[in-house]
Amino acid sequence: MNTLFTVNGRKVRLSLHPGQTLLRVLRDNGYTEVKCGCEEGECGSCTVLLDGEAVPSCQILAMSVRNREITTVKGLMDMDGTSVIPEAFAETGAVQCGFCTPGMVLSSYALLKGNPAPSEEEIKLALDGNICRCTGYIKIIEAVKLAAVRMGKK
Amino acid sequence: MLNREIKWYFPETEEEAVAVKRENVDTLYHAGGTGILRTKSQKIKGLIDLSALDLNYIKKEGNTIRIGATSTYSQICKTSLTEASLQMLKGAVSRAGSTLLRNRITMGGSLIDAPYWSDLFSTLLCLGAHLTYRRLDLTVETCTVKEFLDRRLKKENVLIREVILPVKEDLIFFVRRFTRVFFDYPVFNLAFCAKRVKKKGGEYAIGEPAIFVTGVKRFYRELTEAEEFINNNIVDSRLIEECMKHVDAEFTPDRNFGAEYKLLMLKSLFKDGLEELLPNFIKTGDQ
Repeated sequence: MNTLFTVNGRKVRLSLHPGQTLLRVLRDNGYTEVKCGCEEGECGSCTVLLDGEAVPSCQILAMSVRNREITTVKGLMDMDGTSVIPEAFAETGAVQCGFCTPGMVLSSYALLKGNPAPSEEEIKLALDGNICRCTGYIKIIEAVKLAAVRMGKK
Repeated sequence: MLNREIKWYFPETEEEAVAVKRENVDTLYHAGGTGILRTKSQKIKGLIDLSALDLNYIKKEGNTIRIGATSTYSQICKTSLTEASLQMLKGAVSRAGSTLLRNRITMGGSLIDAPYWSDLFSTLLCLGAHLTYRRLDLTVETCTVKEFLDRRLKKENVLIREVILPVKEDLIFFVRRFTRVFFDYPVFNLAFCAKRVKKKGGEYAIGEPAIFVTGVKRFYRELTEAEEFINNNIVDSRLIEECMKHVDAEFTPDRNFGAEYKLLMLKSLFKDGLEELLPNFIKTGDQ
């Protein structure tokens, strides 16, 4: 079946079957920037924004969010016309294999939208659902702090 | 993944939702969906989405805080209401799952799903929280969370409407969770709350304590012996030491921890929590 969704600000008709998760539907329809990790809601690599809130798309049935705004990491660039957060990740060395990075960027964005100057504890809490197997987390926390400073200056 | 041919229903009122459920036995109510997906059940033939129902709110009404069933843990954490009972609940759910999951997990879903690792129940039990639900015959019932857990209800047949927390004056509390690592599902949860009662001499004592632990055999246990021991007493280091002798719960051993070790950790966390409350019992000048 085909159903109308709003992805990255555009109305799009996505093919799906009604028991599929949002993660599967997005990837099957070409949004491969949404990464498939554990599919258990543990790793955060499949993070998307749902009405601006970071959520694990593997734990959401697609049909239940067909009337909501879905944003992937590619859409984030269009939405704000900015790449402040990905640049901060690159500059601080917070990226190695890059598999977790889309989720990390989206969780960071959701945090900084509501809290432009988060403490380190708040950053850790906001990213507690995003797991990185390569970098450790020190560089990632540095990246979010740097992005916060730069977004504050804009 | 669920059944490929699953049917979705999008009712706009509670009555419509219940009518769909009544006519379709193999359907489930759907709010956040995290619990449903964990089942990976192919037997589910349909899902009744509750998002259009007016069940997403957190508000104060008289001496109660009312939390709609589709309110998420994140919404509870972000609410600006400052009542102590809600602060206690915030403390409990703010570490559940992860930020991503807390944005999806709902009160209603948690009450139906009730996994042993839930961070919700020890606090709700402690606070004497109530809930309302609608049965298949459309009647609305109210009961305590304790009664809800004890009743032999077929829980998937009830539509949770809201949770009601009492607003309590002079509430002191702590919530503890035992985990392998900081960001992990808890092995067990411990919650304590009581009234701070001023005595004639200007000292403060514990009144009406409630102590609940979840993650034990038969899901939850009220530590009634410990409650009786500390009730109406002024808390000091000696009393805390003595109280540990009255803490007991039956745990199931698992691949990580033995039952004795879990009990030891329960006592340790209980002691830690009571010690944190000690400043509340310092004698004040006005008598």
